[in-house]
Amino acid sequence: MSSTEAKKMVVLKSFDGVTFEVEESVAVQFESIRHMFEDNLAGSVIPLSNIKSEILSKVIDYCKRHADDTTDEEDLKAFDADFVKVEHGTLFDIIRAANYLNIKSLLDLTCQTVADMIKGKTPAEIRELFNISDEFTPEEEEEASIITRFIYMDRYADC
Amino acid sequence: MQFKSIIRVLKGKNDLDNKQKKLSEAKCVRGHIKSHITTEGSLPAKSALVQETEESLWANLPSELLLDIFGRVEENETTWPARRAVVACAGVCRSWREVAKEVVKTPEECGLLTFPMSLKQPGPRDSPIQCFIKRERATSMYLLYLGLTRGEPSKLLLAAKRIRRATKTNFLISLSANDFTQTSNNYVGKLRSNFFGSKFVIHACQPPSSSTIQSHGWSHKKVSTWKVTPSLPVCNYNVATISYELNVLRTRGPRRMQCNMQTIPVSAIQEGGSAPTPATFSNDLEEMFSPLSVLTKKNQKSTSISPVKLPASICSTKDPLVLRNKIPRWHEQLQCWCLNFRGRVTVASVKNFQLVAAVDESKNVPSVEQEKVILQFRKIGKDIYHGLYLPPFCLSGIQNLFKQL
Repeated sequence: MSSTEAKKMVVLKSFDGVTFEVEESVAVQFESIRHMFEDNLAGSVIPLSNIKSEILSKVIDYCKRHADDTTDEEDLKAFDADFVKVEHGTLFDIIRAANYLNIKSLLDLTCQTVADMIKGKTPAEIRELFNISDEFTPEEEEEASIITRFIYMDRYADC
Repeated sequence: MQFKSIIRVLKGKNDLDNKQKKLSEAKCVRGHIKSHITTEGSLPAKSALVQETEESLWANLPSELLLDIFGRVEENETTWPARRAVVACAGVCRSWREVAKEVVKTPEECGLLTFPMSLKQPGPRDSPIQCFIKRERATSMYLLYLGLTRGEPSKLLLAAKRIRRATKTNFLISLSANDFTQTSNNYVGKLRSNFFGSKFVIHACQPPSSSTIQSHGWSHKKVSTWKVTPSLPVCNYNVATISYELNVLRTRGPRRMQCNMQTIPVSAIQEGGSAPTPATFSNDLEEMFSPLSVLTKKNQKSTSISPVKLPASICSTKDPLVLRNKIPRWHEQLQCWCLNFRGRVTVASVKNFQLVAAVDESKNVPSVEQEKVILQFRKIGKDIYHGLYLPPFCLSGIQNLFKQL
């Protein structure tokens, strides 16, 4: 990542110690750490202690794309669609990172993705999809089954 | 942060573990807890640790993110069956359920019925909730549906089954159309008629305003007491009484009916009063379930499910709301009794009726309120009836419609 003199660079350091140099025009999308480099702490490294390098590089990639005014709308949409086609674990990490860095558009994109994944599924299917164990007490289990029955009660009408 | 969350996850697991153990000592617990986390008090091995963290990732998503996601799942899905999605979220795991409850507003706020619990909450003020009752002659069943989509009932809410006895007729009311067992969690209550069919009493199987009423929504209480002590009798709480004035001439003139809503105070419709709705005080749905409870905003943050102490008067309010049917006027030209259903009535029937509040002058109820039809009921076709309700009515009150048929 080479920099031109004209552009101010921001250095970010991931949880596993990898440093990333990002143009300030890209890094302004990181709402939560914006003040750190805007307060003219030039040169200092901003540690992001809970984001893995692998995720951080994806996030930076995303922000670069979105900071680039030359990309047209269609391309950006296609990029976004591709961007969220990742493993659930990665998607989870990206959501956490987007939340931590407070990147509104990325948060919207990823949360919408998860919401779309959830829609139309039964509780059991959702648990399986996200590998969630239903750690219910028997009482809660009962409650959950009431809910499930309530959702699908209509089927009686079909049979 | 990462490490902290791991610890938190583990801690949660251990707590749960202990809870589970206690439970299993008390009674036989179905083994739905994963075997690898039941290691005796010792710290789990590292591999288990990693596995656990991965498993719980999504379950432990920070609630603000879950709120965002569920908000997206819910938004624009105002009809059934699309509304299933957000209800499904509530069925996934404990943390998801808590958040889903926060996302979904009460029927009074959003005009939508979502969770089973919604059946016990008052409806929206301005736009009545529309439902339909379908009679199935073959099975002696009455099915209450929410709305119609493409002419078909969209969501089954409650089902009632008529049981004829020698001296009386009972209607058992259940959440499920194929389970009317009185010890079941689906069981809501019953409507009991006297021999003449002139007086009906609605019994709920749970006290109307203790924290246990939410059982069909969120409660754990009733369920657990039943499970632990199956000998506990099924309780009946009088919720409402409906009586008909005996009309000697039977066929002549409109029927007069009166409903005493034992659990809804008349103050619900008084000037400045509102249907005592839990929606106004907190997001903690553990405590907001019934239109009948007049809880204060005290313990909104408590996560425990300790029973809320209620003044005894609430269980059977001293000044209950009384409803009566609007008396139709005699239409000379048509030579029949008429009620104004604002163009909604298509089928003339003796079963059409509208309920308004019956209050005396001293109660300070604005005349507009007095004129407001709180519940109306009309026939729209063979074996299908249409119902509308406003607060302070809740759906379980609509049960009284069943007896009309």
